[in-house]
Amino acid sequence: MAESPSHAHDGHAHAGHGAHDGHGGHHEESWFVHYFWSTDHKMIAKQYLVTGMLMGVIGAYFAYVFRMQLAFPGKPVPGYGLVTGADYNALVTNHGAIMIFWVAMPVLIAAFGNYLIPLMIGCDDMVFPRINRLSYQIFAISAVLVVASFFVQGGAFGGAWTAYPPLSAKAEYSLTPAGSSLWLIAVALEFVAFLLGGINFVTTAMNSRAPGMKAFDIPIAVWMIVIASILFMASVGPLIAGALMLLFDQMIGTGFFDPDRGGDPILWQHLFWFFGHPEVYVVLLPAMGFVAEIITTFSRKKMFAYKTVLATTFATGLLSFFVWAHHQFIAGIDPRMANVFSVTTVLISVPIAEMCFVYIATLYGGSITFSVPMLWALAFIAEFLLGGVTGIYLGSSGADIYFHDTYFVVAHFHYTFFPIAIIGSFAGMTYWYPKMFGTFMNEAWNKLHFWVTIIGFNGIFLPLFITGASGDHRRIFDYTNFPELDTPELQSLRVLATVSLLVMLVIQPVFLINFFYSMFRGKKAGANPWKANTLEWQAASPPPHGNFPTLPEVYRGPYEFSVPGRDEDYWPQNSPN
Amino acid sequence: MIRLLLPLLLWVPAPAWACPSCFDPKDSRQSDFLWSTIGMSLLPLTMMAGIIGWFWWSLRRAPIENSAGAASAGASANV
Amino acid sequence: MDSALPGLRPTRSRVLIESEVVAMVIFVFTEVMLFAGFLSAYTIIGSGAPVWPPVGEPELPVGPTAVASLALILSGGAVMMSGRGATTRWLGVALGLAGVFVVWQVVEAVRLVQAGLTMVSSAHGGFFYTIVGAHAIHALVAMIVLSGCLWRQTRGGLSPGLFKAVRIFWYFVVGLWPVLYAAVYL
Repeated sequence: MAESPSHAHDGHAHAGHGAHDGHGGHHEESWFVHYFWSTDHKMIAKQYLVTGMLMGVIGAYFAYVFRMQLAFPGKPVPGYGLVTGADYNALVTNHGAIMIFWVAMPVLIAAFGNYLIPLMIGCDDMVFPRINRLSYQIFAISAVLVVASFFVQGGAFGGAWTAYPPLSAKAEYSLTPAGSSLWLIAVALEFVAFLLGGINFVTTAMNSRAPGMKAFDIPIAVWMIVIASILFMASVGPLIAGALMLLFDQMIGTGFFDPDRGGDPILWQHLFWFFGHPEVYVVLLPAMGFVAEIITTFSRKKMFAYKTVLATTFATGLLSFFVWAHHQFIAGIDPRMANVFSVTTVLISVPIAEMCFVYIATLYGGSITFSVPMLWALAFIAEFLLGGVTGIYLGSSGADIYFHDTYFVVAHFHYTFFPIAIIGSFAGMTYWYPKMFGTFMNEAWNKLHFWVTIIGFNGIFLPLFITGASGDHRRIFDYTNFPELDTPELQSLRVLATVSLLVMLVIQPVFLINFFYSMFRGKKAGANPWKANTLEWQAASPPPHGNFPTLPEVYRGPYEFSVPGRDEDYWPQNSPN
Repeated sequence: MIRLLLPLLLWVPAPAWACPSCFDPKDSRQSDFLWSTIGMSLLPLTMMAGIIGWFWWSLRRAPIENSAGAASAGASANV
Repeated sequence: MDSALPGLRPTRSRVLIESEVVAMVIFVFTEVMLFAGFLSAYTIIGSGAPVWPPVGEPELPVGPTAVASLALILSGGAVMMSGRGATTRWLGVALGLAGVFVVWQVVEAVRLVQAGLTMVSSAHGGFFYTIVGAHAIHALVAMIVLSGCLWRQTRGGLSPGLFKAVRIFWYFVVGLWPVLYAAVYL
């Protein structure tokens, strides 16, 4: 934590408190300080966002390579070459790890949390700006480490993103002496980064709110990011403990997970899933929050049952601590435990379903605009619903004995995580893009991108439900070795999935080009292009350092749309009348 | 009522506790997994309840020493 | 920790609890879960073993460590007193008592290693050093931060919020130890 004692930014940060006229006259900060050493929450958010997008491209490339191998086994993959078994394992493992830890978490929580929390609660920065900067720096190191693990001797770790021992614990099993340790260190560092970020989010939301902003005036998105941060911090401890133990097993040869020496490999699952399942809700809640903001804005209606949404969010958070053992149904856990966890797992679909109903109720009777963010938000609800419904089969401990480790699980998982990590991110990015960069993205290209992505996504994972239900095991890299699975019907479904993936990947550069091109050439957006109420839209676009010319006061809730008797159909939170 | 009690009855008989991979239904490691699962699940909730209770308590107490608290907060903020 | 203070943002709404304290409470929350994970693992592995601790391993020094634990608990009291006045003196006392504890931990570890209990000798040894070591590292870091507070106090620049946060961390380190002691030594 050794930092230069008086940093160029500090004078800035304190000045950003009303005395804003002096802003331009401030010392010039160097290019490096501005982009890489900033304590400004907006710049840190953009750093997280760009890093997350970059890692997303890497993760998508991995998916392309192993999907090609599954559809056309043994043929060299264009842009990669021949895929060996070890390559396949490393690619699948790191696809999972990168997409969850280096794409979903940084984009949904860190980037949008950093960007939105201070703006939405009407303050000028996070409470601990330097801890915030440190958080990104640790995250960047972890991202470099996980990519570097592909270039060390033995290659990258290939024991699946869950890293079950004994495979992950010993180099003679995993065959990746350096890769597995690097991977574990990267994951641990990433947790530390989000821990620092999460502490900042909760503290800021608690202590820095604009005067007048009561608990029920806080936008849903902020609530959800804060609750997700608390969930993360409540659940990550045991996994850090487990990661340390696994690292000791790998590097100095302790026997925590080695049955020969008194250890227990199931213990890892116990510690891992204690974090692993709440993690799903950690990334789900922010996405749900974005959808709430978007749906209210584009249906010009007050949020239906704001307090119910909050209550269900709390309920989800509480229940999320009681579902994690469902990942171990066939690992030999106590059947009593399996019964209880079946019930809780099915139970947690109730609050989530309630949230979906509330969103649909918000849409009902609204004057809906099908803008790009709205399309993504609606797609989120539809696709996530499919993921949730298929989860009920997996949550039943009896059915799970059959479904476990088949592509049914893979498809279910992707039907939950793709809406969260990808659709949710696109929804957030397209919705807040005018705020972040002050310009609009090209809507026609964005709509094309939306439709091709959604169709491609369903084309990938609907066939996998069928192959999974037919018994396709998920850890096989070449089905030609399994005659009963190598049937033409199943293979054609695998090819369909791969072709859909190719279609989906081909369209992504359109978004990326649109994203970066529009920053410079896009149509200028005013401060409040969507006519929304929350405070971030009352700042300039893009908000300057310090966010607001004079820090706002709050007079009402965030979703006062179409209030009778007003000329305009929106009513900003900070407007006195 | 009987429907509610039935699951509880299933909890009791030892043969029902056996599973394919635990050879002894009353294996102590098995039961410790169970207990530590229960403990670890409840621990964050208890702590959260405690923290929320503490916030609540400070909120209730706040008006009494409001001026002192505000002064010290202001002092700490302006270092 | 220290770098948090100069970069701390002023807050505008009525602050119920200082930001540093909120942040520290959340951090301690995570730390409690970390040790809960360790203890859960320790219990599970311990109860699965036929004999625990395994036969032939050196005895843990239950008695002397109890004395050292007393020093740690007293240092918790001293830190509590330091928040009420005579800060410099009480912090000095607390650091001295904490030093006794940490030095004893190091001596104990060296002796046990010489007697043949190492990280790799068995799962029990691994757990012993991981859990007790993790706690000792926390104690050490907390001592460094407390020394920083002492140094700031002598220069008159110790902010009440930060000091309160540091005290909370120290209570955590102290309060955790009896639990670990009971689980690992007894």
